[in-house]
Amino acid sequence: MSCRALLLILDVDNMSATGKKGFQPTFNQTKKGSDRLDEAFPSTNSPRLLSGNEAIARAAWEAGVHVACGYPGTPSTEILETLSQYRQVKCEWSTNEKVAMEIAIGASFAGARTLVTMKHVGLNVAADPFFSAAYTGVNGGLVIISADDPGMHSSQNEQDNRLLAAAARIPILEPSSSQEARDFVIAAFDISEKFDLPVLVRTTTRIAHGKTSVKTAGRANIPLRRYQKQPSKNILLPSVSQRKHKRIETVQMPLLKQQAVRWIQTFEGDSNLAFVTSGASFNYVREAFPDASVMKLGMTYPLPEPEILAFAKGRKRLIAVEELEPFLQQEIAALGIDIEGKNLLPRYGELSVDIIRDSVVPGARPKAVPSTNSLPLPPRPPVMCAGCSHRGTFYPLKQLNAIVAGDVGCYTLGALAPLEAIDCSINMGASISMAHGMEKVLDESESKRLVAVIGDSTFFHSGITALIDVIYNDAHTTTIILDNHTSAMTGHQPHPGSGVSINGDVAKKVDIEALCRSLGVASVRRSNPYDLIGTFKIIDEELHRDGASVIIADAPCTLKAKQRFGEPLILETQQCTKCFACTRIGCPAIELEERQLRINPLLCVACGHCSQVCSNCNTGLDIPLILELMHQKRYREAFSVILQESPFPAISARVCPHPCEKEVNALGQLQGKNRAKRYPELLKEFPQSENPNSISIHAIERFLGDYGIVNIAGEEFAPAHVRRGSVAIVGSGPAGLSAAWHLRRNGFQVTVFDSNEKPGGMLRYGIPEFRLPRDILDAEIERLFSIGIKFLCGKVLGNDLQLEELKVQFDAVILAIGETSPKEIALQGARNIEEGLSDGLAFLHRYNSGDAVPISGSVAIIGGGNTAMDCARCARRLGAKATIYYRRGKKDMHAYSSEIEKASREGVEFKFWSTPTRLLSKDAAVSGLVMAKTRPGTLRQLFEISTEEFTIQVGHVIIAIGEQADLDLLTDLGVANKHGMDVNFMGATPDSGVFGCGDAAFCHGTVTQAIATGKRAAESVKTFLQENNVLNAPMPDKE
Amino acid sequence: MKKNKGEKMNTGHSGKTINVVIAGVGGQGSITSGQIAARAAMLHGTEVAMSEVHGMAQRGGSVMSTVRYGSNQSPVIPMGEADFLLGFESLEALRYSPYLRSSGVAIVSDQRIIPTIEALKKATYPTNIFAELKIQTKSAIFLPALEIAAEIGNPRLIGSVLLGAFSAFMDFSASIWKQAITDIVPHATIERNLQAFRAGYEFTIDADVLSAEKPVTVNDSVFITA
Repeated sequence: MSCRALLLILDVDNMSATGKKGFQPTFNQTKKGSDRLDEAFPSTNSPRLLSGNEAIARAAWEAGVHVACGYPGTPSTEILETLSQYRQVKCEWSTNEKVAMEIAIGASFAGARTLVTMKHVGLNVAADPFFSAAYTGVNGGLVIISADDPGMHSSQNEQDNRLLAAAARIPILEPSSSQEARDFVIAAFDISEKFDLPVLVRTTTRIAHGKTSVKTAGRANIPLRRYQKQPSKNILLPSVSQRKHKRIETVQMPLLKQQAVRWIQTFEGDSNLAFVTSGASFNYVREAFPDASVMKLGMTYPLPEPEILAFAKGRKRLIAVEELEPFLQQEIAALGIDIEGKNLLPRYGELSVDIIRDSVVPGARPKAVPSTNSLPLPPRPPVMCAGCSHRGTFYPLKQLNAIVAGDVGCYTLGALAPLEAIDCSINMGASISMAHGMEKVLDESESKRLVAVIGDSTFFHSGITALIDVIYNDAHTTTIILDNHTSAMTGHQPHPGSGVSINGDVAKKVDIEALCRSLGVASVRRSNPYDLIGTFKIIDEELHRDGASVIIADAPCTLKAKQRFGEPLILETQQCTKCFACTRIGCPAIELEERQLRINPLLCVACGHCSQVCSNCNTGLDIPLILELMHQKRYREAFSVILQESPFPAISARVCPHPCEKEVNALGQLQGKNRAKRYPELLKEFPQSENPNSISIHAIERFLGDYGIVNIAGEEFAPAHVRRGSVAIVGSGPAGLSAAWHLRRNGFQVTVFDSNEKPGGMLRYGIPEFRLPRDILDAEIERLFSIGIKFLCGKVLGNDLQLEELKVQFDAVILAIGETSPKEIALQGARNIEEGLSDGLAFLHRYNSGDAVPISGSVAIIGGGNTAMDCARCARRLGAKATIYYRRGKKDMHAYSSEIEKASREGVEFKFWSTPTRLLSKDAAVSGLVMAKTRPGTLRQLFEISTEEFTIQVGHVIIAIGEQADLDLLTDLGVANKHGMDVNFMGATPDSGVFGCGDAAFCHGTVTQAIATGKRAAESVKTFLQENNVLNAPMPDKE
Repeated sequence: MKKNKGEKMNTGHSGKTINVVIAGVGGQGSITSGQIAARAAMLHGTEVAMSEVHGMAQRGGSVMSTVRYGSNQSPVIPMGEADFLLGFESLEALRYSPYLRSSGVAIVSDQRIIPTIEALKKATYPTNIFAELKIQTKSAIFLPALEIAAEIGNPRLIGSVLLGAFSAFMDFSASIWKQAITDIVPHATIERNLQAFRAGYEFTIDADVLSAEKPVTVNDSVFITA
């Protein structure tokens, strides 16, 4: 392979050390200790490994730069960070790119070599001075670094700033390595001064952040140029500009073109396949086609036309390879050359060796590429850090259902699940102005929810002018300034509010609060983002205020401050209700393993967000918010907050064991004490019966549930829009109904099937009326009818319904079929109520259906759970003498203590430490039971059965020792595992499109836990429908 | 005891690049390890290019960096052309495994860092990562890097453990590695990093990874070379 550099002028010596043209630096002997970096890396010929950004900084220092400024932005930030360590250069972080550009122009006018740095979109901010800078030209050399980000590793768009520079008549250099980054920047100062023009050096992410070896030299002794007043040069009055523009086009550009030849590197190879390229693309081309002919352009504007024409001559194929815009391609095509480019290669994203190989010669891949992973892998996107203060503002914004105009910074991550608290985000400083524009259009109910959220650095950058506009034009927008005292996203650069300069010296601090007040903002308040409900209240108040307001969410960046608020929190798994409420804040320290949440102690900084969200509620109700709204007597809204989680507040309040009333929640917060302290009047109105120092949450839930039944029509919760996507739900117990509720509220078309005559499942056929009045049950189930859920009752899965058919008819199926198989017990005999032996659930079903139940005399109930209590209390109501036999002691029973107490009060008797062994019968009817005595077990055995037996005389035995999932049915359906339904924590089964919730999927739980699993399955279905593009298909004509 | 010296990667003298992909989770220190690996090349007189990730890739995100021996131009490694994959975390190793050549070597810490709950809603953490990696490459080494690092005194030493394992395949001398580590890591941690490096190296050599033909189990870690 011949690889010949025809014209390689860019060696270090020529450009920087002994350059022949104009640039004649001499090296000053820097005093020892005057320069930290140079001490660490003394100037020798041995190369060092530098990133493009470090090389640019080094080059600026070597080239004798006196002033450098910019605004942080990936991938440009490290240039000034590195350069600021050279004390001979006056460096600063400017408030924005426009200011930086103007500072640079001023410094150049005054006679200094000046560097200004920014990311690609920063040049848009600086466009005004940038577009006129060529007209004035320079005094000291002026070099602008534009770090473009093709592929958008960390940007809102990808733009090719070569277009901007060409339009501004500013020459462009594009380095391909760190060495070139250094050499080109040094040469750029030379060009700038020689041709009296600013020069733009365009890097891209790969050049800026890639590290390659660089040979460096010392600092050139470039004296400041003398300042002269030059009105005919530096005052752009039309008469001056007319002359200057003409000079650019007729004198400067032609001269520049003549020297552009110096920047060409040519590799002569296969004459039939030739490339013209620049920057990072050059490396890819050489690697993809090492044998091809390549013309590498170091200066990409203006272009050396005769040399390009000569290179193109006689080529079978000439291809321009460049990232983003067809900049070279169009310029070269304009010379009348036949050139390919964007017809082959994408105009978006980064290029790569792979893309170039595949696009230029399709199908001619030199190597077999290994297959990609077949497994779907969980993504791992960047997230807000554990303990991040921003979370404490976005969570209340979500609670408020606020319309949020967002901005650019770490906090843009507030847009991601689960917070999803940002409506729009475009560019730096846009939040306040966008919100102002939205306010002009939205109706009052919407504009009362309108918030602009902006970071402190971004506020200084370009939020202030928008806020002034808001004041001047009498808008009511609420602005939240997330003040974490640093530019966090780009790596903690200081800004005007930090009180620190780029060098780490103490700097003047601009007071955001005083600034806002001076602008005439009606209300300026500070919030503590680590107090969630406090922040909620402040935002809520400001949203309802007339006139513009500013809230400063004041807390330092946890990552920068290395803040720890205490020992890592511990999640008490025994107490955790698995409602997943704590996961709503989206903290990465909350991890899930084996269906149990835990706190990762390496990540947790004990900020306390999760412990404020944990309510220890089975359904995951937002109890702090409900209490706050109750306190403000906003009952309707409090009711709506419950209905976001559960359709059944009046039912839950009556049947839930309310673990939410525990004094300490699963994350260690003293919730009982805190609630009582915050809301003394609620304590007075709703005290717990057993502990009058604590607020009774279930009493409040019952109040709100009953309030809702009376005062709020179910139709109010109907979805505003019906969407594509039909879901079948089999089973209408609390889990199935909860799933139906949440899916319908999202607009899906939901049909619920049930084997019974009426919907409700265990609520109707398991729980007796004396625990759950039927008018309450009916009223709350009616709510589901009124939002448009369809019910088809009397359908039995496996008989009337087939899963395979449901999968065809519906886009997704949820199985909420409960645990229906009674647990095995060593007691022979057919279950038949007439003959005196029945299972608890069957007995309750018959009782609750209103059918006659032939029971009288003495009844033995076996079991210690709530079903056993219900059976005993029903038996009492049928006039029987009921005795509960339990194999262990009183305190071991699973039933709620309140239920045990009620049963006892109604005359139910309890016998502990015994278990049935044999049934006695007479004339085909039960006559008695042989019981064995039991005693506490040792080691892992809960109890042991002794040989001591006794006999009891009873006419009826009810076995209420619990149920399990119908494994045979689940196996037939293809979704079984050892214990029940094979589901992940969100209820998805391995069978795509089939989901599970409730007891069948998550084993025995309470009514309220079932409601929570129903909500999760609904979420899972929603994600499934989204990912399968069901939602994008056209809507059917009729629902 | 160095084995199979003949099979070692000859850095930088054949005119061909040796490509290393380093995959991990932001905050694990994978970039520091890349710097050490690159520094070793500089000390050895081998051309080297490396890439880092900045900006959005803050803590907790998936992070990939590259080291390329024998190149002074582009650090970007094409798909299917990595000779080594250093995996700081199992899932991330699997995610970036398509970069490996079929003749490449995966050196992977068996540590699992569970992604966020939102991520787990989309897909579960795979259980058979080792088998998946084995299919894709000639040699896959799983080592308990976290365990070794913790034993030495700091979980953040996993990078040096992995580099020690990696060094068994490279022809840089021990003194070069020592100097490279000394140059890059904070002064106070040099000794422990060297210890971790040695542990990683010895673990790999003792387990006879380079010549093993069948899977062997050593200290709960499985080594396979096909």
